[in-house]
Amino acid sequence: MARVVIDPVTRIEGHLRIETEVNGGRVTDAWSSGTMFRGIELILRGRDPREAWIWAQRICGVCTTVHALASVRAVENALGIDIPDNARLVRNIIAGAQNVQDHVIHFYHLHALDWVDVTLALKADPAKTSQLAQSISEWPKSSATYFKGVQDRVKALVASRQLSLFSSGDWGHPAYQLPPEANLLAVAHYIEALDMQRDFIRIHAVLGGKNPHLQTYLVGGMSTAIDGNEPEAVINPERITLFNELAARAKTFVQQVYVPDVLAVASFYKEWFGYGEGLGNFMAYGDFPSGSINDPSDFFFPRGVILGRDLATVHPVDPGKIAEYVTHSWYEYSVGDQASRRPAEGETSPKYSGPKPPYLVLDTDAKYSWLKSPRYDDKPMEVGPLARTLVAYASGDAQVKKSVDAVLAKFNAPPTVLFSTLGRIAARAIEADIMVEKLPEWIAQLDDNMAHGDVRIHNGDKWDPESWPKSCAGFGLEEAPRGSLGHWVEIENKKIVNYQCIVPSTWNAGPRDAHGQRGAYEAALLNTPIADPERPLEVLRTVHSFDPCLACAVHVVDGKGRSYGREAEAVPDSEGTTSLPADSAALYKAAVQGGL
Amino acid sequence: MNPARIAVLGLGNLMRTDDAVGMLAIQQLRADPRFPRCVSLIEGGTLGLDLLHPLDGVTHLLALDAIDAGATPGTLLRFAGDEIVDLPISKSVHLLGFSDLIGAARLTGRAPAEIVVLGVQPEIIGWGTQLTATAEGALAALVETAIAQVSRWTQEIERAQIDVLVPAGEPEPAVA
Repeated sequence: MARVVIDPVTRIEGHLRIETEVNGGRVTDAWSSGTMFRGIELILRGRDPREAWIWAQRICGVCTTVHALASVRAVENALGIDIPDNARLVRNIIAGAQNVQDHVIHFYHLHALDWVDVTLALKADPAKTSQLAQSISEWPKSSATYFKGVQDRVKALVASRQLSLFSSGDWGHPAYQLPPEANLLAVAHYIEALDMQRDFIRIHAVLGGKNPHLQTYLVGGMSTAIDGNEPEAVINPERITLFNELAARAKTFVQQVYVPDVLAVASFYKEWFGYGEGLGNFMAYGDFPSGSINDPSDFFFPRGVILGRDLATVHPVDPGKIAEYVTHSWYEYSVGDQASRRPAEGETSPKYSGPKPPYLVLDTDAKYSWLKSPRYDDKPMEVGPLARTLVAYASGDAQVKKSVDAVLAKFNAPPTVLFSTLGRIAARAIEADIMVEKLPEWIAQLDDNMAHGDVRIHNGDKWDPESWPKSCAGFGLEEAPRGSLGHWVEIENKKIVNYQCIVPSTWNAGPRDAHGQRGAYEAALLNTPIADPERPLEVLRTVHSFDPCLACAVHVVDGKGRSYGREAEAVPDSEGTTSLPADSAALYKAAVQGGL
Repeated sequence: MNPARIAVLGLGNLMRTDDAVGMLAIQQLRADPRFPRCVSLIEGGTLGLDLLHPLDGVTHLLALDAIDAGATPGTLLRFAGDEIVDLPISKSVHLLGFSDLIGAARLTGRAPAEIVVLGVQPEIIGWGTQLTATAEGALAALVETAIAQVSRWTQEIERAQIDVLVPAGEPEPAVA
């Protein structure tokens, strides 16, 4: 038995460490540790709640914009503010675009290399790749000449030693199963997706003033001027045309490239419908209101909880049942560390008690993460695209049901296969597919409002703090690309006195609670097969399938390159069955030379 | 042939002491009357692939950053051509860094033809919003070398009469 450690897990956002116990070629236990502290909650105390979103948005540079939205919703909830219809639409368009762009980037740039061996793409026959491409999609870039060109570009990159993006793959690992042609197809689309995401997110640059970190939110609505007769207005007929063009291009890409690729890759890895199952409890706050944010029955993404893999029952969500433990987290509670606290009374009192770096393993019987352990009704929950898709499916959402059933029919499989690593990947693609259909509707509604002279985008009735009660509290819930996100705010004498965020990756990547219940990553890693403990690619597949996003802070890489590639260390147990890599220089050398 | 376009890209985290040197150089260049207005100045910060958009169409790229090459702190370092491979330059969210950005640009066929990286060996890169005196001293040299590099490029371009320089104009709001 050996403990296999991956730290840092790369091709994610932020800092994550995974420790697993491997026994007989399988993961028998797992621990997930967030290795950086996020202190935004403390920074927000004493500030004007109307500016909270500017600070909160800086929690993350990848899920940019999502914390701004959760924050303005929390403050609007506390102060009892309804936003105009145009603000609802602009927020939906921004969040919907973020959802699509994030899912595309995740599949191609953060996850694909767990399944695609770039070195094998160089061995592919471009003519056969062309046949494969044309058999799964109408996407026009599919000629043998095109794939030959892609292959030549990748060859040139390899020849120049500039592996760059591809330097951290486990090339040649026995768990790679795609034929060379499928690898070349995926690499070609990896490159095309770089252009697609760059083009599509201009929608944020226009509606947000810049991207990342959009600058146009306001408590009470948005600051994006809308005027059909004003060329200088952010939203005018010319801009509507641009949004429609961008949305149409994204739709074509998602439907002709992303979705067919996911299905094609999955068809070579069907056994991964059987791994990475996880908790079996799923939660979605729901999002994309059709009317008021206070009417979840009207949300485009429905709200609900699924317990114990039972798709026959969708339980309602009671935000009062959300609470967080710090039993295994580097914090302390005034009520003792065995108790849980609801976010409305949440505490952020960091108290690091872990080992002084560098260290080999964490004491996972004690505190071992900077993430807290959120629970719903005292149960751990998985959040994210799979949870949303399952809640929608179990709620009888016609569009989701049709998409999911089509995927299941293709694999001749029951809905239970969705509780898996591949299920998460498929759910993300299904969601993007549904979202690219919806975006043009919101754009059309905005255009329609403008055409009818409805240009109201901000409700300033309660902008003046003199109109606020002496004390009030509220929360803002949202479905970010990675899952259910909540901000809780308490306001007293016009200032924030407490602020708490529970982010999607805290639900998924959090540690055990006071009852010893595992978090979603920890549960999903159980029984994962490991072909080579020195290169635990299979662990990465399941962890990456959640699209991890840990609160970020950027660091300079040291000159010895220790942070270049993911480092896997097989740490010997008391019997010393595995050996430890000699030093960081050797690790770096191995990482670079073991590349292409 | 595409018109020549020069850009100077500052990288680094303003909250990590000497790591900020490239970003601060951009601010000084913007205020420097000698700096040609037709050259774009990009505050890249800690962005990774988000920088593909502002780099689109750039033919001559000068990147400024703190580089830990094991040299004496404050040393000015210059890298060009094949030397930029595997440079220990600021990594960003997703742990994708400058060489990944250039690799991605090359794969999409949109990489600048000319790339020069100017770096300063940092003394410390811990939390802090002020440069060390060592890096502060190197900042002036970094700015002067950047102006010299840009002048060399503008002269080369004029001499070769490749095409007129495209004015930077109003920068697009997008950084994506």
